[in-house]
Amino acid sequence: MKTRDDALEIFVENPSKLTKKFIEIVDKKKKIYDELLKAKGFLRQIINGVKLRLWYKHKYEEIYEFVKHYDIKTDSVKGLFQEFDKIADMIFLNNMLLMYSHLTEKKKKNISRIITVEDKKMIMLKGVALKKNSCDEFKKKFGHYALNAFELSSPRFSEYNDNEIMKIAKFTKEFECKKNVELSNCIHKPEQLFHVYSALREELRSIALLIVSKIRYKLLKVAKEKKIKNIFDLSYEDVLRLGEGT
Amino acid sequence: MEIKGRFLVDSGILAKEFKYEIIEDIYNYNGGKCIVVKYLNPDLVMLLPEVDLIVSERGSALSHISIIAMEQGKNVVLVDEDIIDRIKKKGMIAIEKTMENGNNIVKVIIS
Repeated sequence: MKTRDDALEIFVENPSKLTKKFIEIVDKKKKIYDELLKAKGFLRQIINGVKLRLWYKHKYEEIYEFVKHYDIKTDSVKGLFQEFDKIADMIFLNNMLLMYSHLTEKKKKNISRIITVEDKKMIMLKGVALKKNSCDEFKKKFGHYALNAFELSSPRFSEYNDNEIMKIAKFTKEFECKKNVELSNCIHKPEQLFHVYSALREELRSIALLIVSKIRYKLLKVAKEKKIKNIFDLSYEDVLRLGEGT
Repeated sequence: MEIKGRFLVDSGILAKEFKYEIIEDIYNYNGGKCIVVKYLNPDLVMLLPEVDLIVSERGSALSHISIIAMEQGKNVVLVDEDIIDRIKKKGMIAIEKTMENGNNIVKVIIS
């Protein structure tokens, strides 16, 4: 049997040279969290097991507060990559607790009632397909999303024209969402933590994509000013060497 | 062809047999209820409202698609072998739940 079962999905298809910096960050985080999960020695395993159980029970509130108050305070490429590093850390922590809750809550099979960012995106996209929402409304809220979203050279939805938006919106006509609880309304008394960590995962993903889009726009601006043909083919270090503008 | 696999997400499959299509790019999707993919590309989230079953060569229960599939009541099966290069682009696929050495597995029958 194949054992390609790690929590880290293949998150970028054909990464450009600059996007490889994201992969480097993610790989580093993966190593840190893997070590925590696969600790050697009986005592270390017990300590980590207790730690994990405690985190599972309480960390979601901390992650929620982080998400709620998160604000990107920097505009420089270096600063934005540092912000991505911070978010990647949160994503891995959340993923680890999601995995833990998936295993410990296996027998509770309640359907989540928490509306996630992903649900909201699909609801609005369906609205676009059914002409209840405009493409501009969609772009305003979810313009930082993209196909092959963590690849820096992938255009964001905000860069799509209306026809391109309609092309993806048409898939969502059958989308049904019966959820009716906002994360903010159940975070202090959650029914099932798996659903909370799952909703937080989408929140963190949205923030990560916001950072990716900011880096992309910043670099497109620099490329235009400095007449660089494909800035995403430069390495992270090359981009930093470009100087002040970044 | 018969391949073994396991459910990453089991929301209860209503049909036993599906028309499948291999998807490399969401824009090539032709409306089939089952798609066969190399890996659980997060872009597939766009197709989830239309699809009942995803058969993938790679992925985990915590992939973005698996989580969303779980929430939308869809099914995801991970096959033990790479199949995309060995099957037709479109055809029929049947899923059979069974046990092997005390473990739940699925038989994926492709015709």
